[in-house]
Amino acid sequence: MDYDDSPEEAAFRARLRAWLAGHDPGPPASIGDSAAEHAYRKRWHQTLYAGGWVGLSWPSAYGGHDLSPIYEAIFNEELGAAGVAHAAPPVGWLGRAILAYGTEEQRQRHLPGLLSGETSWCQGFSEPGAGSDLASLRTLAERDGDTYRMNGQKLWTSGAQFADWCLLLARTDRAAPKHKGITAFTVDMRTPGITVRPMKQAWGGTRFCEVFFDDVRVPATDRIGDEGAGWPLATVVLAYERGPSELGVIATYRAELRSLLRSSAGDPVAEEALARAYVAVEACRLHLLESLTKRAKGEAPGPGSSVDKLLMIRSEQALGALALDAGGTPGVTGEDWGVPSRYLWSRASSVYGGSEQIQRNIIAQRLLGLPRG
Amino acid sequence: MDVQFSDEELLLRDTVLAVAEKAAPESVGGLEGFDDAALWARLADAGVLGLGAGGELGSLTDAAIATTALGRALAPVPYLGCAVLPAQLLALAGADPALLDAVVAGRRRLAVGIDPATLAIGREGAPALAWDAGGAEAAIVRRAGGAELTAVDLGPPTPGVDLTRCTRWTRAGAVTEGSFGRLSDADERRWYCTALALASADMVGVMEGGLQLAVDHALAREQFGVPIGSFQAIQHLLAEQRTSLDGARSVAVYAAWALGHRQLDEAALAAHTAKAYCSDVGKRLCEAVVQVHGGMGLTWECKAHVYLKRMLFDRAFLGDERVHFRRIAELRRSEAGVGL
Repeated sequence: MDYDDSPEEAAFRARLRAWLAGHDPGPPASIGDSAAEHAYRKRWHQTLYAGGWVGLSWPSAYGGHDLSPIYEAIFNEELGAAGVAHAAPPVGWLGRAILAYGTEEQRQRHLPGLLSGETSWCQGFSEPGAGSDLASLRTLAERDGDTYRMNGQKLWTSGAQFADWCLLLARTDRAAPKHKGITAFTVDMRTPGITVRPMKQAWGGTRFCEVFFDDVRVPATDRIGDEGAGWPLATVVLAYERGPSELGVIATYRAELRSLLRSSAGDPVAEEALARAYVAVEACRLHLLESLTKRAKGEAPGPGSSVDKLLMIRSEQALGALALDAGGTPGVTGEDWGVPSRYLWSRASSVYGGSEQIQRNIIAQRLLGLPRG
Repeated sequence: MDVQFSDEELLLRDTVLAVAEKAAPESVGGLEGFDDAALWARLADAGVLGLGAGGELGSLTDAAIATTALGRALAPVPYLGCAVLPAQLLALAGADPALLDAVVAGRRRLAVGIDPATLAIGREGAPALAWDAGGAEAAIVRRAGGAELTAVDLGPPTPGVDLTRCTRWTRAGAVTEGSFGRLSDADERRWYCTALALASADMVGVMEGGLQLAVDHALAREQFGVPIGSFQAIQHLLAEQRTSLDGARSVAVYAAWALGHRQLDEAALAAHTAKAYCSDVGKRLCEAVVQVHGGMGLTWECKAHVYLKRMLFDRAFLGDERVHFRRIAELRRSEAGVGL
């Protein structure tokens, strides 16, 4: 066990700290205004990239820095310490799928833009009839010469209205068992036949979208991996989404804890509730560091990432509830819309990326060895 | 940064676990009147009684690893109360090296007396409670009105809830000979935080063993023609406990490590965090273990209540989660920014 920086890690941390002293993304946009939020994140992503802080653990061939994933943790810690919310650009999980399953040409084409923040991506997985049972998805991709013809509908596609590209799962073989007939594609969002319809969420923003595909032609060269190989790819994406990439949110949680601490000074009930949330965040942070060490040693993400996700949900929802309580009446009268927004967004954490209930199934069956019902 | 156990640390864990599982009684009945002499001697031979007490005795992380293994095995042996914690206290106080050697070698069993009102180390002349004091000849306390330590006689074990360890009250007046050293306030705080971190490590072990017992039962017990572990109601209950256990492991081992590698203020915050978290989720995990066993879980023969009771003992030792959530709130108010 060693939580201390190596000399190289310490030097990196010092360099980052100095850089952060001169760069500040400014106050974050309201989550009720998704366009402003997207612009804010994209600008900060590009600033970080220009500073050389994005893609730390990615191969330099694609714009990364060839460092251990440990540096991603240091990056997040320092951004958190500097009080920067929404710290890390979420380049991780979609890119990992392209890195693992794409051809060299596909990696060269997509990864540099993803890392630099020049291109924006969305993830076309869920459908109206395929939520927790993702493998039952029905969007169809039929081979037709050098292209695939896509028809179907995706749902809960975050940021689709701003995306240049979509990593899409579609069914290429209706006869095969449901997990075997799925294939992954990168789809240019400007292709004719794609309609994006943002959905207004309970907190007022439009982070999620419906995406419709009507006879959309996708070049066969945009298929990622073999036909029928989409399910293992999806599993990798989801495991990365649940795992140490969550470290980014720890920075946000810490900033929120500090802010709530200031506003609750002198109220013993609030302070104790805050101590409980602090402890939940610490358990999440320290467990993520263990998962990250495993990742750094080359272990692929597995069912353990569901534990990371549940610990994250506990922290997220504790903070959301505290924000609501601390906000008091103005949070209900609408005089401070940020309060209910924060709370309502925290309720989404136990749904997105695989619901809390699905994570429990994974832990019970794959970590504890209990039988499928 | 390398946040995983080294090969040496894993070997230590496996060694202590093997010793404990071999010696600990298999049935609940075997705990009554259990003679811990052989187990104590094996732990002394393994060189683990003084882990964390400085020099070449091993780190506090090692002490936490050994403690967790013993908790997991429900080992009825006063490892924390009569070995690691008094050794740590004597080392901090600069006691006679021969005395420390005797404790580390397992030749003398001394406990530590705690003032039940303040949770500070007790004082000569006032009643103090020695936790995990089975077989101890005396309890270390402060001399009245000073930094100097001494030791006082102990009464018989109280009829306590934990079937694997006991509490004993100090007896007024009787003083044991020897030079026990002087303890500064800062060192008392360090000792207290060490005790919090290691009690948390014991709770992690109890959680590990308890959860395994529940999983085994859920696989073996059939109702409606299938193992009850195939029902989502049981699966989700146990998956929540596994999540808590993983979080508890992480905070407990960090707390032990931090005492050797961080400023005391930061290490103290980690120690309170571990004690609060493990007490809180540990009790709930043990309750779930009982629940999964159904009516069986509250019978004397089933070990579920032994885990729950050892958890209750650890939880109460030096304050339960309510105490530590309050301390965390105080620490973060007074030193906002520490550890954040």
